[in-house]
Amino acid sequence: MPSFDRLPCPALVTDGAGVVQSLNQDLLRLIGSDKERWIGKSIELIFPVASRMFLQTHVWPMVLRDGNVREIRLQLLEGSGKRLPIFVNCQKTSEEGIDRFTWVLFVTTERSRFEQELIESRQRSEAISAALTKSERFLRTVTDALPSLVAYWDKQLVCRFANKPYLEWFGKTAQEMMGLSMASVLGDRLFQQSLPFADNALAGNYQQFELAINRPDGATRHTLADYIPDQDETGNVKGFFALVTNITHLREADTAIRLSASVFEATMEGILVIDEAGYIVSVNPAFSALTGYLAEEVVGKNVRILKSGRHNELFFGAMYEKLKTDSLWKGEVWTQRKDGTTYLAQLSVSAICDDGGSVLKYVGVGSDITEKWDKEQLVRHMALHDGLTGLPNRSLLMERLCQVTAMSRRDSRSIALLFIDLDGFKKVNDTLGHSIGDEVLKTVATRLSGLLRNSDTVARFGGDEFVVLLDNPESSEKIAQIGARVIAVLNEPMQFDDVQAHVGTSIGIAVFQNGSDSPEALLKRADDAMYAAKAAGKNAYRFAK
Amino acid sequence: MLQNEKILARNNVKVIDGDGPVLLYAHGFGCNQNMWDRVTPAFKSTHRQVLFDYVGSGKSDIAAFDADKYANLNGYAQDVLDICDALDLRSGVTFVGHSVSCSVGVLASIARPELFNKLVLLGPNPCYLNHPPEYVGGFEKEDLDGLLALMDQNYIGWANYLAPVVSAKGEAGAVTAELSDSFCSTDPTVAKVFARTTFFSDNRADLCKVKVPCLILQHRTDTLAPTSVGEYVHTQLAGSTLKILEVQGHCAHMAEPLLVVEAMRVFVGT
Repeated sequence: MPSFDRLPCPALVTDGAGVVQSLNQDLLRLIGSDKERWIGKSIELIFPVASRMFLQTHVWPMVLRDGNVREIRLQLLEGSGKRLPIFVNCQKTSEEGIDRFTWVLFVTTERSRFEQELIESRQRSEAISAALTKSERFLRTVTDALPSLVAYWDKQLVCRFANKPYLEWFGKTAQEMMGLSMASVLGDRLFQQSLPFADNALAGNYQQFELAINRPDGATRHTLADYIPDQDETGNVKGFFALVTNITHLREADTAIRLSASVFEATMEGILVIDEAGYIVSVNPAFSALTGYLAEEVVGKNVRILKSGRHNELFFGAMYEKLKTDSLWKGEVWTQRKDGTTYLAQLSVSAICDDGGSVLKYVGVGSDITEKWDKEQLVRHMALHDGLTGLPNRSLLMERLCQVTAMSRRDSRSIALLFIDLDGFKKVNDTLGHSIGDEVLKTVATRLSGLLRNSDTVARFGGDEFVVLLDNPESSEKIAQIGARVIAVLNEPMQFDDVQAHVGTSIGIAVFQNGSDSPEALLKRADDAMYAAKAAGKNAYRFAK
Repeated sequence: MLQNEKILARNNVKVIDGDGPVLLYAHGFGCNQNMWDRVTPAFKSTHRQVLFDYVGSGKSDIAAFDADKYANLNGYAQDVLDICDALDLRSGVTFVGHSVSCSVGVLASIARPELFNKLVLLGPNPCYLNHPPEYVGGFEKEDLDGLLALMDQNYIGWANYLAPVVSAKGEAGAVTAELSDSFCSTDPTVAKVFARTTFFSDNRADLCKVKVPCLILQHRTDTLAPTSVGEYVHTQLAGSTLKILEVQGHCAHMAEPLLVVEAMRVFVGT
């Protein structure tokens, strides 16, 4: 094909599969090597990979469909490995049923300046638009995740952006929202309320305001709106961002807080809040009334200023342990007032923890139950004491006897029981009357009490019987001495105005040692010894065997 | 417009009526449905044939383009399923895909196995990028960058070339149609999204999930889908048939349509 070689540009002929049938000298000069090496090879080989891809994806489909292509920009792989920009043209011809594809290439080293600029400006604008898309997507991703409503209004108060919560609030899709006016989105009333703030924002001033919005379902929502002007470098306002936060919950919480605060202030019970280290954070007026401490006098002080000294460290240790496990402790605590007096507080302490379970605060709620305690103590006293003489009664005696015998088993202390029965008391009753008899019993009680130490107990056992419990007496001699003195003091005459009375006494003494007896057995032994003393002529004491 | 009509317009769906089961043709990157014109006549009497253009290609509705959706081949697969639904196709569809559409068909059949009963895969490549040492897809990232640059240059070139035609015809609509017809996409940005999705997707792991019989039509010499890739696809697709077409290049359906038709006939059973 001599004419082919004379073409003033690179050219080649292939079949429909791209297999090279022939090529001219111009092309060979560029791609190197000799002609035979290319014949039968694929046309692809004269292109770098990207151009091969374009050839396969774009060029061949067009060539096969239309029979030609014009001015396709590809690159030619030179023999040296250099890439040369080319225009590719192809024309299909058929001769005797055989398709031939003639490819004519133009080297375009000097590509049109205009085209280059066009490409560059396209690439710039693509980069900017990609960045914008990316930033809008970023903005949307971020703002959609916010619980707040976010929108952007331009200078004409037309919506340019609205996040998902905003769209949902107004029941619109993003497509519907774009380009809508503020008036149509907000509705008449809300728009009129918002307009002054919008105007101010467009004048470049940041706006924040609260707005109560009535929803279609009748519910009222409290919102906090921020209008943030969007200004360019020169200070021109292009629009503003609207950030609307639903503060209904905050409002409700606020109301709840106010309610709590008024309860705190008004309740009759003293409330004390301390931090985890025991320092007082706040107290209520009832606390001040209860303790005499004003809030400013105790806030910041350690709670130990309230300690009465009537509980030991074990007591507070147990309280702390209970709070640690249950976050709640209830009980009674003797507490010291500012003036030093003490009162019994019915107290409940709660530990307030954070989500992780660490204690933030303790809240104590307490009231003064001293009076109640006093009454209970009185009832208890009456139940355990003799109404006439004020001495412990049989029940209390037995209780104490149990205590000391138990202690004795532990520490081997000695115990002595003196069973005292008056001689001649019936005669006093019969001759001088029961009221004198009562006076006699009271006098006996006084005289016995006067003889003994605090650790000893004198009890009226019933009728004219008394029991003395000696806790850890020094010796038998000492016990005998006490027995003799009891007889002596009771023998002394008793003067009641112009009446004189006289009684004697018989005493049985039982000594408890080394856990040998039960309280009842000990008492029985003393009782038996008392009868022995009586039988021996009265006004005497006898030791039990 | 009704939803179904919207979809049919969006993807420029064309139905060639005929008695028999459905053949659904999906074109490759850089092409449009016209590329099947030498295959469809062979099945006119035996099949109902459906053709379409992907959004951004051919005469599709460019307004429906969504860069996020089409950044993933699943977006294209969804359109295939939309088209079947819009045509009320429920089963028995034979999907015929070229090039990247092979992956689209694979994804669509995994999503709706009951809809398809066979896949014809012409020049499949589940992953164009090389993953040495175990997989050679054929390309490196810089090759794709080079392709994108060529697309830029050529689209501009085309616009310039067509500019006089615009003024001569004085009617933008007609020219747009001309442009769509003569080239794969009217919008370079859209075409670039398709290019990136095509060449950066890796659907190797999806192959084993396919439950329908597949026919792999492998070109003897194909830069875009080398024989080794066709053999890889064959081993990954259980029970598939691999047929080597004695064709150079990537477009057997255009260069040697009879070979494609013959292989398809054997496979679809007519």
